Amino acid sequence: MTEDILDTQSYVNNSCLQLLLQELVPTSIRVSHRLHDSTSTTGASLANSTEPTQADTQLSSVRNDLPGTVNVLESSLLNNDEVTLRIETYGYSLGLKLAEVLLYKNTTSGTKLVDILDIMKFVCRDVWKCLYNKQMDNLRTNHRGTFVLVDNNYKLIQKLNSPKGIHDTLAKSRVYLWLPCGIIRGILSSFGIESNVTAEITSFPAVTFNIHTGINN
Amino acid sequence: MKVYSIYILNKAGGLIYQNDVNPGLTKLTANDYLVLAGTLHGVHAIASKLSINIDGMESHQESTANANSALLVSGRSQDANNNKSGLQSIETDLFNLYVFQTLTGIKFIIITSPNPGELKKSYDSANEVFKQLYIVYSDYVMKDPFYSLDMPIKSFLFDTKVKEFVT
Amino acid sequence: MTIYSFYIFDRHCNCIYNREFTHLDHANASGVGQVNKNNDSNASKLLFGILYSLKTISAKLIDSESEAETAVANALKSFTIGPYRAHYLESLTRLKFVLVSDDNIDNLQAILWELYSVYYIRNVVHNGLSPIEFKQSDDFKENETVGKISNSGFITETDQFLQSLRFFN
Repeated sequence: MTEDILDTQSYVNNSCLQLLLQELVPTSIRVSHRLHDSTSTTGASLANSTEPTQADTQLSSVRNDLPGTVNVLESSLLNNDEVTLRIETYGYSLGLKLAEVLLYKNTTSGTKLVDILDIMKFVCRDVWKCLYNKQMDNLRTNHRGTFVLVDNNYKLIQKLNSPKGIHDTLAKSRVYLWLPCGIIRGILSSFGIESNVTAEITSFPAVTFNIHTGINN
Repeated sequence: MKVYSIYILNKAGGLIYQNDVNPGLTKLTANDYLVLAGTLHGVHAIASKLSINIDGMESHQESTANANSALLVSGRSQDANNNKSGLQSIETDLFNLYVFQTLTGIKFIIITSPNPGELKKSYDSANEVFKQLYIVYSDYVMKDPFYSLDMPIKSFLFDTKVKEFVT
Repeated sequence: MTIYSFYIFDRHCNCIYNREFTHLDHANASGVGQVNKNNDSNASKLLFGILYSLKTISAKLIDSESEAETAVANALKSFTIGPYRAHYLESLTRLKFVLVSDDNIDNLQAILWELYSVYYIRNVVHNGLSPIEFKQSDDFKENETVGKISNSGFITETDQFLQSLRFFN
């Protein structure tokens, strides 16, 4: 019998993973800035990128974007489609691969995924269990292809707290939510379901995922 | 509580006496001791300023006024220690330091072994050492006709007496 | 027994957090006070100056290499100024935590450590929207929250923690 890849998993430090994921949005903004700069040829000052990063190295053309600071989130590109799409795409390909790994496990345990509701339950249970070691707190559907998934304490944004108050916290947290949206869309896509996933923060840190599919159930 | 070291500073912050009575501290150069004394004197002055900054001047002036009126009325000070608003003590992992200031501005500083959890007690024993030290200082330095004020103390007799009560 | 104020200094010598507690005998309400109002005041600068000098003295008077049992430099724990005692803890990343109390409280090292290891780590380091480098270039003064810890999570949680201590009032 072959070795089970999910049983041989090794542990990843939770803090490190959280901190790594928090770099997602800043990195995406920086990439967009770099792309804009190179087309408008003003990015010449950042050209010597072979130098190792120092405490006073400007990371992008955003003003005062230095290591250890969060000024990059003040960028006008924060809600730019290009930035959010990059994050969503990242989640999407993660979701596609994750579905494969989890399904491999699932087929051996004998569960059958027959209709779309089973697939949604799979997202709520197995996928969330794998990602966050918990299940979704609520699953609702209108039986016409729209599903609402609620996580009452969503881990990725749970610790975020902006010095500028709750409105700023919400605005910036929303950008991070494109990652799980992408993951869900990627999972569904690997089942052959085309969908449209958006997320909203109902009462921080509770997150509601709205999934629109073309399938009537 | 073991006394490691005794320093005496004159009004201007100059080191006039330094004696490592018990082993425990690192030996420094003569110049380093002068710098150390100067720093402590400076910190003491800054500290008085800070405590005024914190409590808005009341307690400091009050205590000075009290001490002065007590002096005028009875000819005696209620408390020999005039160190009310400046730096009084430092606690570190490996030693404690206590500062005592006379009404005339002379500072006695002792460095002792740390006594964790016995703060009040160490204060009392430090005060006991200061009392002894003040007596010995008055008897063997102030009464020494060859001693000129504010100059380094080089009295053999004082040395012996200090050693007597700390060991 | 009372706690008067709480300061954090970063490794660039800036005061990045300042919390002052007003007590019953000073005002009509207990536990209220100012947050981040006196970061650049004389008091915080004087306090830092004293800390720095005393820290140097502590390390200098005992040679860490000659004593086998102490691999690290002798650390300053607290000092007393008049009726106040300042308790001090420095992390290895050179963050300095200071609690100012009255002189009846012996030792607050455990409290300072908790403020650092629990509350600072949770609300500043793990908070993706809070900077961990507070030094700003001079031209960047768009709002007053820059250069200080001002997220509400940190403020409310440390307040609750300090006010729950039996010697707070």
